[in-house]
Amino acid sequence: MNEEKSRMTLKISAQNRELIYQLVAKKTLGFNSLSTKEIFKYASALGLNKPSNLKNSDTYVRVDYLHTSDKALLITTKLGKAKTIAQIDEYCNIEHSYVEAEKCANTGFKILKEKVDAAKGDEELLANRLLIELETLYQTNVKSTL
Amino acid sequence: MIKILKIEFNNFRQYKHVTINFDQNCKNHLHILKATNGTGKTNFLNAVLWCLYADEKYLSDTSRALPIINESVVENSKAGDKLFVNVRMTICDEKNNIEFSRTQDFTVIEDPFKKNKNVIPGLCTFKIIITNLNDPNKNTVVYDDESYTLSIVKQYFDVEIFDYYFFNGENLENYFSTDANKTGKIKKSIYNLAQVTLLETAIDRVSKMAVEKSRKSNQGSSWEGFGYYRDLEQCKNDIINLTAANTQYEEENNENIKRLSEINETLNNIKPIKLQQESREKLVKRLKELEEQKESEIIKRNNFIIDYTIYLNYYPLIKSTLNTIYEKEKSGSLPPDIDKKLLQKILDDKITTCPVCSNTIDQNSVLAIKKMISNLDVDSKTSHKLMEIKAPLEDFVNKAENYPKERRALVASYDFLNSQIDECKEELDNISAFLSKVGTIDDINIPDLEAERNDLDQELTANKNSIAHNIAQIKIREDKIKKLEKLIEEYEKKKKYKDDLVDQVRIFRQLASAFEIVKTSIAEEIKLEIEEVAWDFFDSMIWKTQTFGRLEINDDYIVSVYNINGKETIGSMSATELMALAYSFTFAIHKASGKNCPLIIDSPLGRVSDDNRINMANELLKVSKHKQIIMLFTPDEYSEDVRNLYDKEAGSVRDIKLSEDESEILEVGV
Repeated sequence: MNEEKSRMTLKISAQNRELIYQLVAKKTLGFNSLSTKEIFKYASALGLNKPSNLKNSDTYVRVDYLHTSDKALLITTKLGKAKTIAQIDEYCNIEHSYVEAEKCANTGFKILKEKVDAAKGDEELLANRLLIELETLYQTNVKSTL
Repeated sequence: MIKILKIEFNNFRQYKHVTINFDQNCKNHLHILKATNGTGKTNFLNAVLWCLYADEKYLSDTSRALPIINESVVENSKAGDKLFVNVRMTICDEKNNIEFSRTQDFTVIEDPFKKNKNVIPGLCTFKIIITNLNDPNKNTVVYDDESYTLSIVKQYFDVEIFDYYFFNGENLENYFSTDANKTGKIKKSIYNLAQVTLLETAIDRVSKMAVEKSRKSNQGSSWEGFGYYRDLEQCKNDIINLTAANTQYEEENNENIKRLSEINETLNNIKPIKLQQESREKLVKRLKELEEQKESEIIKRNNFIIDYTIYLNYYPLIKSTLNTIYEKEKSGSLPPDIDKKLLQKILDDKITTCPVCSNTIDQNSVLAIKKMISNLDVDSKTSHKLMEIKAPLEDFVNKAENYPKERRALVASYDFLNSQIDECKEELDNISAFLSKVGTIDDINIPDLEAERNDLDQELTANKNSIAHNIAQIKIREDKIKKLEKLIEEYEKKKKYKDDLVDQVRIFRQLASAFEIVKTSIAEEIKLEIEEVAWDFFDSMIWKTQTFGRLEINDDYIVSVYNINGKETIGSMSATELMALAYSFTFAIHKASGKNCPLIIDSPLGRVSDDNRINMANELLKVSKHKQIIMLFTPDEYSEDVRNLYDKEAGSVRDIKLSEDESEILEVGV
């Protein structure tokens, strides 16, 4: 686990911090009661398919605060895409997954901002739209594979 | 006055072992050395030049010259002998005795074909020994590092203008060169001695520093800070306004609550609508409870959205990772679920009963445990990592696949709550509708009161929402203020740094400008001084009183002499006049340099004839009262009239005599 000790934090683009401030202050989706790692995982899940490079990266989540289950989830960001034995060995180094998860979260924050802006402050509308998206996600990602 | 005290020669050409002391206790510091042509006059000068500069500057043809070592010394040596040449010149000024000493080693070789001896030059060393005359212990400091010795030599006999210290009367055109290279050296040397170069270096340095600091001070926008201050002010004003608005909302609400309470009390006391009033109170209470429950349901719903966005998006990757793990497990490439630490503890603590199954651990068991630990050591980190994440990932899969059930439960609970809230609200609306139509009872207009009550209710809710919104806005601005204050702190640090740089730039520019003024002033003063001194000397040496009008030195240190009609005359001057001018210019340069250095002149009157000789000899004698002059004469040049004057007035008059075999100077005697 030496490779994990070399990394102290997970990073986000500095501009996304402003968005998080806004969401926490307005209690959007209960962001005010979420930990930084929950917010990070949520953003990375939203942008999982379109990782993008960070601009002016800023520290956000302390790696010390990640539990085994958090690390297990984040490691799949890369490991889940491994095609060969060599890639499996390479992607088991969680550093690769952290970098990828940061890129996914970067996109995720943009997607979230678009959704929040589209709801124009109507929490109920936002929640209903997200619930509908969950239904689609389940059908696409889970049910079709069962 | 700087004087040469002594010059010692060892094996330098014909100066095999010669020491010449220059008498210090004389009224005129004039010393005469006489020698016939070829005896060693020019080599006397060359010896001194070699000592100071490692270069015999008056040697006619370096490439075809003999080695500097005395020929007879070489011939009388054997092959392999180590020989040396040394010239030592000791000078003194007001504070120090300074000895310049150069030694060149040689090794003798024999040419087997020509059957003669030759020398190979070896190490050449130069040292300067300075004795402080004011030091009672007469402690000496020896300098042999070139960086110091060059600098010390430069202070007394700058090589750039060596011919103004070691004057060659046969080469007068050299002193009126219009070659910029030559005159440039004079200027450079005088500037060096007068510290003008130091000022030029300082100007260059401070100008560069000003440019560099100016460049740094211009980096980055100086306006960025204004944005921070403006935003900070805006945030503070917003907070004041939002707080004031909330205070007003709260005051309004207090008034509204008070009025609502009055209305309710009035309505409660009207018997015909008492039942509706009691129902409404219960319904309001119930609605409040339901809305609190809804808050909690919203939290559950939000958590559901967050969690299931993660599970469902990650599901394909989790499944793929798990499939990899299952395949590896199936192929046996993953380690068994064994607690390696426990196994090691069993061995370390020599535990005899298994902590898992309570069986006895015998010798065979110990061997089996050791083998198992060894096998675990060779398993890859990848396998361990995969094993570590397997269980949490399976948990995620279960949760994701349980989505429909969880969603149904959430929706059912949420919908049920909403339906109850709707029912409550409907009943309240019905009561309100009834009261709005009931008319006047006991002179109280019930519909009006009910309408007022509804308005107050709505206003209360609206105000509460506004207060909540404003609190959120205040929090956003408070966070922004913290950030802005940090930015302002950094900006102010940068600004202070920049302001300091601007101050420094101003000071450096002022310094450069001041140095430039001082430099120009000194340079002009030096030039004028040289012009003045040179003219005074020239005018006193020249017998013509109606010919020459003035002497001018231009900025490149090229000398011009104008006649009384203002026409340049230097090109048509006689040899005697040129010599007088050369001396005048030389003395003026000496004076301007700030150091009264000695002057050695080869053929001092060689180009001067007739009455002018005694006139010039007299002028040089006058100069020697305050300046040491060593003159090298041929007997012819040391004519009777000159002899009559100098034999009587000079500090010393010596003859340089060669030995019979002409291999060495035999004596330099009076």
